[in-house]
Amino acid sequence: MRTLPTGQYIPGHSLLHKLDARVKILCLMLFIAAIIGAASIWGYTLVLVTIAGLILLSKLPIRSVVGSIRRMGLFLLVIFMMNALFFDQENPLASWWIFHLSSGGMKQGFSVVGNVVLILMLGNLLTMTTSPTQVTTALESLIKPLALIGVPTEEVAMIISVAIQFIPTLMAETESIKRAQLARGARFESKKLTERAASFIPLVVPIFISAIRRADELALAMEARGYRNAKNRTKRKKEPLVLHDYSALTISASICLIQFLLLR
Amino acid sequence: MSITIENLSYSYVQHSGEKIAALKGVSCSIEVGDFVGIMGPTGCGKTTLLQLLAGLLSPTSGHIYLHGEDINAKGYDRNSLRQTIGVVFQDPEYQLFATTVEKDVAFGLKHSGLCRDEINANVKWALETMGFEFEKIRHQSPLALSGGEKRRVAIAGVLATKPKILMFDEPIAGLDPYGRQSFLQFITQMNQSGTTVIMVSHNIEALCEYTRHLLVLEQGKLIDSGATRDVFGRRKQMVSSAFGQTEAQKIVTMLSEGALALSPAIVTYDDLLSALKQELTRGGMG
Amino acid sequence: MIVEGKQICFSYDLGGTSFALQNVDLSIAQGEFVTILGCNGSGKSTLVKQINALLPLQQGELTVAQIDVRNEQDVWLLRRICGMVFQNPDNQFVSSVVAEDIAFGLENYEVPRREIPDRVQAALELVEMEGYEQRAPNTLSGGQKQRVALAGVLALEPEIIIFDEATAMLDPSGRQEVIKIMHKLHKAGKTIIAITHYVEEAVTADKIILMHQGRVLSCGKPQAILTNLELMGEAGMMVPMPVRLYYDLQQAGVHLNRCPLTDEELVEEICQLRSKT
Repeated sequence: MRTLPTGQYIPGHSLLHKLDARVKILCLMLFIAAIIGAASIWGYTLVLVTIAGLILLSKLPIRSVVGSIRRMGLFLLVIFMMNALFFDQENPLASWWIFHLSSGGMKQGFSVVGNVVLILMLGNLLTMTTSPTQVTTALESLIKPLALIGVPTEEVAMIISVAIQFIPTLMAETESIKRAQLARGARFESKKLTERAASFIPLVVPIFISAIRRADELALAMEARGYRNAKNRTKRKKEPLVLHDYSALTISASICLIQFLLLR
Repeated sequence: MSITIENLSYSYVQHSGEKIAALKGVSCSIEVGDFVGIMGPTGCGKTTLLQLLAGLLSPTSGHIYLHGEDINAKGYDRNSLRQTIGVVFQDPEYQLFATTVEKDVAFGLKHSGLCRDEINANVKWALETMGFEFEKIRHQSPLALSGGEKRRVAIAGVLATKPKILMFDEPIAGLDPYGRQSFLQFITQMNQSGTTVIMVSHNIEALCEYTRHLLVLEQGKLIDSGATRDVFGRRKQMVSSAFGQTEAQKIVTMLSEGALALSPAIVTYDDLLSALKQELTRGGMG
Repeated sequence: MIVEGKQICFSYDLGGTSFALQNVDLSIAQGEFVTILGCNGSGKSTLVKQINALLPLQQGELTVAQIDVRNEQDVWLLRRICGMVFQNPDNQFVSSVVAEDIAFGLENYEVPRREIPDRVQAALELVEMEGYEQRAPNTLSGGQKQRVALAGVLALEPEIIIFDEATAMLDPSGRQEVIKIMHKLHKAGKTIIAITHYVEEAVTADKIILMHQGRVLSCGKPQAILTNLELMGEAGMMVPMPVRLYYDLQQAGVHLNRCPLTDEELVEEICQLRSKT
């Protein structure tokens, strides 16, 4: 069984679990801005301390929050190398062909990787303390303003909800199709890049067809249960925001603001 | 190509951290040309065993010997394993992807080392074995065929490598009576032409009527194995629930409660019919 | 009659050369347990999809609970009265939480939010899945999935429930779970229409509709249809084992009193015959 790259939802009763999902999503966006805006040691320290505090507040084991990031190790290394080797062509510490290693580049590399890791950890904190349903309900709420420019927000929300529900099923089916093709002699680990890309056709085509077939069947089932459009349906309960929600928003906004002030 | 399994175990870790032991210390052997059934409730490890035998999974411990060689040993020719063993999973029609039937069936032969002509010959043979007219079907799109035709093309794809061992995972699940019968007859024909056949199934009657040997799994352990008739005979004595007994056996049990004792060796419909004929014509009835 | 149909014809290709349904007459009384039996391609699924207007009625007449299926404005009422459970357990769920999935149908009919939790609970109780409210449907077994799908249908309190080969993809224990609930619902007064090609499931029906290549071959009680070798053979169906035994014994000169449909009836007949000596 393979896990999703983001952290799996773990039910709990911490403060982070209790926060409204919409607030969490908005705070995440504010924190991402804060992280990207952090340009000095003080900036980074503030962010790191806040994240450490959040992990403690969530009462989740640090292992799980950090775990999925380890799997991204290779990807992060590539980002680092790209920065270290291509950033500064003027004052290289060492040169070879098109690669120019520079101290500025390495600093930039660290900075970018650091940002990615911090953002991933925050993302993990969000998905681990918020159930998929809460996330989709929050998204539905947050995209409502788009209705003003003609986006069919209720339909989009239904699509997101159904799609999320299908992810485990489709992943399991990908595994079984992969098995069946391997059993037939398929090779997925070819050295040549073009061959490797082509080797995914026996995986992608069947899954695509399967997804369409499932969508067809589901549409029929939805109609049989009286679905006609996304508008004339009982609306979800609107939970009002409480004190800790407002506090979380205020604190996140402040941190973001401080970062930009520190930038000057 | 005989198969010997020695103390085979397989465990995996779920994303929740839980360790699941799918197979625990299974040992048995399958002779060349046999027709073996694998039986057991859902979750007993049947599919895992099949995948291990096909070399799709590596065992946590234990060995699988194909014709005396350990298939998981370093340096074992994986490619030849793919050509020797053919696996038809449940709903095989879902694996079709190519632009023509011919290309889809030939897919498994890409790395076989055979030349163009030999590949074409194999593809033709496989499609004809599955009841198709080669020239009519070869250029059609596999995705435009009917459900039954798709399934036959998918199986032709597995047959194309002319495997010596064929494995089927729930091949008749969801088929109607005609479908079931013709499929089982097809598998029997393959077996009669020398292919070793291993079939995982829920269908007790099918296992009883067609297989010569049975492996019974429960919660990852091999709890019984042997000649089909003998295994069913033992199931009747061992098991309190009706699972794993043929309908004929269930009827015999009910008759014994109604004070008509028939032989406990009755397993198949034909056994029951002859026994009843004997019992009820004695004393000149009817 | 809760379902009345006359001369229903349907073709998937609108050129009209091959017909999935040909001149089908249909008559189902309220509270009946009807099994539609036939091979793949016999038109069973096409027929039932006309009943809740998932497929449009092309030719003929069909009324369900006095509603003409052709009335577009009544379609939503029709689908509330007539619920359907499909063959593939996985492709019926819209949510990753059982309670929310069951609420889907209620939301579609704008049932007030405050009534929904109780109706969801009642539906779960009917299918004997209390306690599963917060589970994800994809973590359940096949039989459990179908029961949750059924709960989603039952929440709307339908009069008629159609099972479109709902047991075909399940293992034996899953099938038993679903069949048990079907009978429970029937006892509670619901009209059940079950499509299957498993002959054993037809034995307990009030009425069997035997279909073959788009036509109704026969319609009647199980005793009349399942014991008719020619009819069953024509439809491509196998008779239940007790029926097969009855005829094979007859050929050997052993005559049972009546043709048994179930193992229990067979045993009874044999013991009766035995006791006559």
